Parts: sequence; C-alpha cells; structure tokens
Amino acid sequence: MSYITDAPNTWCEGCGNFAILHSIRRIIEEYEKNGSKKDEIVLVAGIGCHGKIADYLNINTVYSLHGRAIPFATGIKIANPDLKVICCVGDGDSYAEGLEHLLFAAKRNVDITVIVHDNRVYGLTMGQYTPTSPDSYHGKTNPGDGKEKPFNPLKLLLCSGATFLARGYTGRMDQLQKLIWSGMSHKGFALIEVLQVCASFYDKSSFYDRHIYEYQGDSGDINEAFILAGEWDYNSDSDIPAGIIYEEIRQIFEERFEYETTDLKSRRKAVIEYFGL
Amino acid sequence: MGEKGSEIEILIGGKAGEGINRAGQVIAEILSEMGYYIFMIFDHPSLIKGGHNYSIIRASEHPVGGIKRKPDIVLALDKNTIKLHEAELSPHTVVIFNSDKVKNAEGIGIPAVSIVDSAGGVPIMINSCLIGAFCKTAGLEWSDVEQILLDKFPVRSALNLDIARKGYDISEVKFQLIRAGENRAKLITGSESLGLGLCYGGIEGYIAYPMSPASGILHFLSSKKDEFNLKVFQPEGEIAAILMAEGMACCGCRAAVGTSGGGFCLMNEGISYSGLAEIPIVIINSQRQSPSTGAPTYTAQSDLPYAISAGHGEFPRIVISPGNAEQAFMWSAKAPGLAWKYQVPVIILTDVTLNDSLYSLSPETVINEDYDYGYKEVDEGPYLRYRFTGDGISPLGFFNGNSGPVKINGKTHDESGISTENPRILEKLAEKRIRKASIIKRDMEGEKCVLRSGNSNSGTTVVSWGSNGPLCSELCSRLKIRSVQPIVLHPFPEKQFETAISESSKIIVVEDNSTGQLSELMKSYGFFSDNRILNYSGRQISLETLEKRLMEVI
Repeated sequence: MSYITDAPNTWCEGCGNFAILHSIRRIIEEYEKNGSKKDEIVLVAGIGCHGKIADYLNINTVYSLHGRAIPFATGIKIANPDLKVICCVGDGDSYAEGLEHLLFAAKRNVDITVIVHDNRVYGLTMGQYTPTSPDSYHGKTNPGDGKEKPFNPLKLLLCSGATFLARGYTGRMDQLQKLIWSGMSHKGFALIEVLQVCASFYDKSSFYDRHIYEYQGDSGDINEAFILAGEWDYNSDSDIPAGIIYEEIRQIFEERFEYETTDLKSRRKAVIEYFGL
Repeated sequence: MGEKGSEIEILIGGKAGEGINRAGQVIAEILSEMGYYIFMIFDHPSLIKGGHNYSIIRASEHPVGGIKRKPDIVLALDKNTIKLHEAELSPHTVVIFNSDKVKNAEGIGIPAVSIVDSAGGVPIMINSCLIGAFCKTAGLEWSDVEQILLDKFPVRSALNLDIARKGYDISEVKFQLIRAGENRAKLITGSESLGLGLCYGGIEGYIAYPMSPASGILHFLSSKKDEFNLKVFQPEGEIAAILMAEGMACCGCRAAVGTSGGGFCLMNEGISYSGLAEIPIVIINSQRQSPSTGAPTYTAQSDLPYAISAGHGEFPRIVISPGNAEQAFMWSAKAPGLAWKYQVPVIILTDVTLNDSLYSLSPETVINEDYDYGYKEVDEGPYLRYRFTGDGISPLGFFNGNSGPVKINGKTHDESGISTENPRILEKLAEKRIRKASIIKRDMEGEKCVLRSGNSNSGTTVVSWGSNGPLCSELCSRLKIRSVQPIVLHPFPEKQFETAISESSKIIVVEDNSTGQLSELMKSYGFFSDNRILNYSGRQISLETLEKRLMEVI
C-alpha cells in the first residue's frame, strides 16, 4: 500500500517540505518493516504550507488549526497513550499563534514528536516575518523602520522542560531522518527544529550549507545544551550546530491517564452508587 | 410563636471565608432529612476573604423553584448581614445573631465567639454554634437533629456537636417546624448534577480551565475521577481545553468541556472546527452577568443568540438550557449521545443560579430515562471519513485501526478527508451540513423539548428558559396560569412550542437579560410576546418580585 495519497502536491519546486515529507514516509516504511502498523501512528498538522503534509501522507491525520496541533495531539494521547503521535507544525504556526501550547507540552512531557518546519517566514500568506526571522528580514508587514530580534526556540524549549531537543536541516536528509527517528523513539516530549528553505520567500540554502555543521557530542548535560543552543542566535552569521542538543528521561504526561476506561454500563453503575441507590 | 407548617425561608450571612455556603448546606440538609424540598442560593462576590456572602434556603412541602427574599429566620454572623438585608425583614422575622460581633440588634443574641473559645474550638465553628441555635428556634427536638448534625460535621465532629448543643441550649423556640415526610431526595448543586449527568451519558473525559461559575463541575468531577473512571484535566486555557477534548473524540473517547462567557469566546475556534470536521463535543457555557469579565459570580441569561451562532460559518448544532438539577442531569446525560449521533457540537447553556444553587433531586426520576442514541458505525469497504450520505451523517471511524487511515480535516475536504476547494464539493459539503441540520430538527421533535406546567387552560402564558423555568412554574401553579419552558432552544422546537402556547391570549416572557433574547428568538419563528419581564441585576428575581411584576401586566 502506498504511503503517499494521490492528492496533487502543491508545494513550490525546491521547497524544504519535500525533505520532511519523505523522511517521515521512510520512517513509517521502516516502522512497518519492524512489525509495527502505520494505523498506530497519527500525524497532526497545523495550518501553513507545512500542513499540506496531512493531505499527502496516507496515514491517520488531523489537519488541525493554525497553532493548535499540540492540543489535538495532547487530547489524542489522553484518550489513547499507545498511539504514536507526530506533530508537524510551522514556525509561524507554533512559535507565534500556538506558542503557549508548545511550551506546556514540553513542561508536561507529553510523549509526542514535534517537527517544526522552520522556514523563518510565513509562506502561504506571502512572506510576512515570523518569530525566528532575523531582524534584517523585512516582509510586507514589518518595513525597515523597526527592528525586532528573533527568539531562540531551542533555548525557550530548554527552559520549558523539553526532554528531547534536536536541530536538523532539510538540506541534509539522512541526518534529518535519523533525528526524527530518535525523537520518535524518545519516551517523552521530543522536538526537532528543522531549518528549512522557503524557495519563494526566504531561500537561505547557501547560508545554511556553509554554516550548518553536524554535532555529535554529549547531549545529557543541560548547561552544555544551553551553550550549544545559544551558539547561533537566529540573527548572526555564526556556525549552526545540527544534531541532538539535549536528551533526558522524565515521567511522561500520559501515565496519569493510563487506567483502563470502563464501559458505559460500569460508569452508569458508579453514578447510581453515588446516589446511594 | 409562629406556626410554620408547610414552608420556611432562612438567610445566613457573613464574610467570605467564614464558611457560609457550607453552613447553609448543613441547614438545608437538616430540612431535607425532615422531608422538605429544598432550593438554596449562594450569593458571593468574586473574592476570597471579607465582603458579604449569604445563602438563602427555602424549604417547602412542595417542589421549590425560587426564593421569596422574605426570610423567616436570619442567621447573622456579622452586622452587615442585618444592615444589607434590612428591607427583606418582616415583623415576624427572627434574627439569630453572633452577639460577640453584632451589638444593638434585636432578636436572639448568641455569644458564639465566647462559646467556641471556651470549648477550645476554632473560628469556623461559630457556624456550628449558630446552626445549633437555629435548630432550637425552628422548634426542632435535639434528639431529632443530633444524629444529622453528627453526620454533617466531617471533622472534629464531637467538638462541633458540643458547640452546636451550647448554641441550641441558649436559643429560644420561635417556630414549630413539623416533619414534612420521609426524606426522598438527594441534595445536589447544579454543577454536581451536570457532572453526574455527563458521566451517566457516557463521557470519558472532562477538560476545563477554571472559570466561575463553571468551576464547580471541574472540581466535582476531579474529586470523583477515580470513582467514575474519568479522565479529568486542567490545561493551559480554554482553546486548548476544547481542542484536547476534540482530539479525544477522534480516538472514540467521549469528552466534554465547561466554561463561562469569556472562555466560551476562546472556544469558538474549536466549535467552528467541530462544525466543519464533524467532531462530536459537549460544551457547557455557564452564563455570567455582563460582557467581558463582567460579574463572574452573578447570574444572567444573555448568551442565547451567541450560543446559537458561536463559531464562524454555517453548521448544525444543538443548544440546550436546563433549569434545575433534575433537568441538568437529564440533558447533560443526553448531550453526549446527541453529539455522537449527529457528530455536532452540543452546547448546554446554564447560569450562575443553576450551577451554584442547591436542589432536591430524586435520582429515581432521572436514571431511567432513555439516554442511548447510538451512532453510525464504520461498515464494509474502503473507509471515507466524510462519505456523502442521504442524511448528511457519515459513518464515524476513529484512530483505532479498525478502518484504515482516518483523515480528520478542518479545511474543506473531499469524502476521504483530503483538502479541496472544488466548487462542486464546497456546495456538497454545505448541503451535507444542511441535511444534517434538518434531520436533527426532525429527530429532536421526538424529545421532550418544551415543558408545560401550571394551569394549561389559562389564556395567560408565561414563557421562560433556563433557571427561570422552575421559578415561573412554581409561581404560575400558584397563580393558576400557564407556564412554558423550552429546554431545547436550537433547533427551535417549533411544533412543540406552538402546541404549548396554543390558545394563549397573552404571552409574557421572563428572562435574566436586558434585551429579551428568547422573546426575539420566538419572534423569528412567528411567536410574538405581549410583555417582557426582564431582570438584569445579576440575581435571580424573587418569587415576590416576579409576582408583583406579573400582576402589573396581567
């Protein structure tokens, strides 16, 4: 059975989303080869160019709302902790409109894998600036008379309690696929911040190709992680580490909901007992 | 000495933090044990300490729908209680007051602080002392109340009982309250009843962000989550709450959310999502007075057109407004089944009066109703989440591996759930929603959507909704006029409503808002009211005031 639907693909030529789509497709293929079923996976997407991935993958999906993939994913995990949930979100999507949900999912250590398609620009709505656009970037809505520095999402997530943090790049698909696989194997909240080019509005491939290097050091020390996360501030021309930035094991959110949900009859019986009948 | 046979009203007041609500409940429980029907309101400003809190308990041999605000007995923990309620006192009102705090008052002074101090108690036990005094004043025998009191004091019961006894001994008999019968009912708040109904209707999850007056449901279900095997969670806000509940629904797990106006505003995104993606969800909106933060702990019925239209775009939904604990249980138990059957949002509109008040509920009358609706299950062949069908309802598949990939989509989509903006499919999707809406309207006429009480031959008809329903029902029965309460407000039960008001020469609509929202809604279906009695003080109108205002227009 094909892992890709027959929905026509409308991403621009050269879009970084293709690398993420095919990384996920390969991972699902790998999953099924290892005896798992793709029905045990749910992909939740936000709204933006990235969100179309929900139409293109022939698996369980929720094409959710702008910024709101995380609460849908959290609800799915509350209902059924055994499902493997991947959230594909955008930088405008989840670092702007839906930031609170992202930070709270990290705080709670919800066992989901969040892939941020960070092209540092709003693509679908025509090139406005996002929380990770550098202060030199000026779209239609932030003309050059004001400067606003980007925030560093990795540092923000470290502060919020994320238990798995990695950075990947759509120009290095093999590493990206390994990082997503590691994130999905991690028991807890995993976020893979993926630097991706926007072919139409913000094509930084030559900059990324020059500056991104593969990091393979220690990822168990939070102080080291802060230093590594801070090496590039999303604004300057410094080198950019890609790899696993931080990993720890902590109790996951879903454990508190793991008791068996009883059928309707026993719930009704409990109410009748409450009434003392 | 006053004769009190069939009913009595008691007001207990003091500062926030003094346990007024709990003390009121104990008095209500004593009277309930004596066979009385109870209705108790709890009036409290939005603060933790200080201010003025009070409860009014009305107990009667007949079902109670409201309060009179003419207390027979006042229990005053402070001077304010007497000062602020002066206009409500009548010559026969007996005031029992804490004489250590209140000076120069007329009535029965109880040195409650000194009694508690000398017994080695803590300040909250002043309530026990005054409750003891109340029992004597009402004419109850100590031997009758001793066991009840012991049961109602969960901690340090012996000391509380000792203090209550000292209050009892020092007080005076002013009434002769007789036993009204066997205790048939359970005392329950509207919030508790809503929670129990949801569980009975099969919800497995309740997700809510704290917000008065809906928090009572969250607190109750949270405390009972193990007993009822329920997943209860407080997320980061109302947007997250409704979307988490919808995520649960995608897995086949019935879920509900509860909030008040401001939170309901935030939930609109999720309501609209449910409308397009056809996710079943139950939303309780407990109305508070005024827009914005408004008056969080005061009542209103001012979100009716909003609830009917909340969320952008056009999509079917059901809006229900129960009026007391019995109706709250029944309709919150029906709501999950209805949401599931039609894959729509079901909104339960309540208010401060319903959520916070205490009611007598006879469980036997509600548990045997039919709450099973079923839903269209996945059948043979390749699964299409949004398959076009004759009635607009597609088979409901979940993320459980039983049907192949399930694609949920909040964008316009084809039958499989893949996005499309094809004009033909956009039309078909809109028509799917319209077909579903007409099926819901047809089916709902089979439910008891409109209640009629009082004198059905009377040409004068009082129409009310929500918590005013039982209030108007009680008054209309006494005045021998007709009372009509539509519980389902959307889709508007036109046929049942027409029958209920048929041959009325005068229609008076009673509402807790300033614009006549139900009256306007009725008008849009061709039902015209002759008079509107509108109350927007944040407090439910009293029986006395309502009677006076009715008499002005009848």
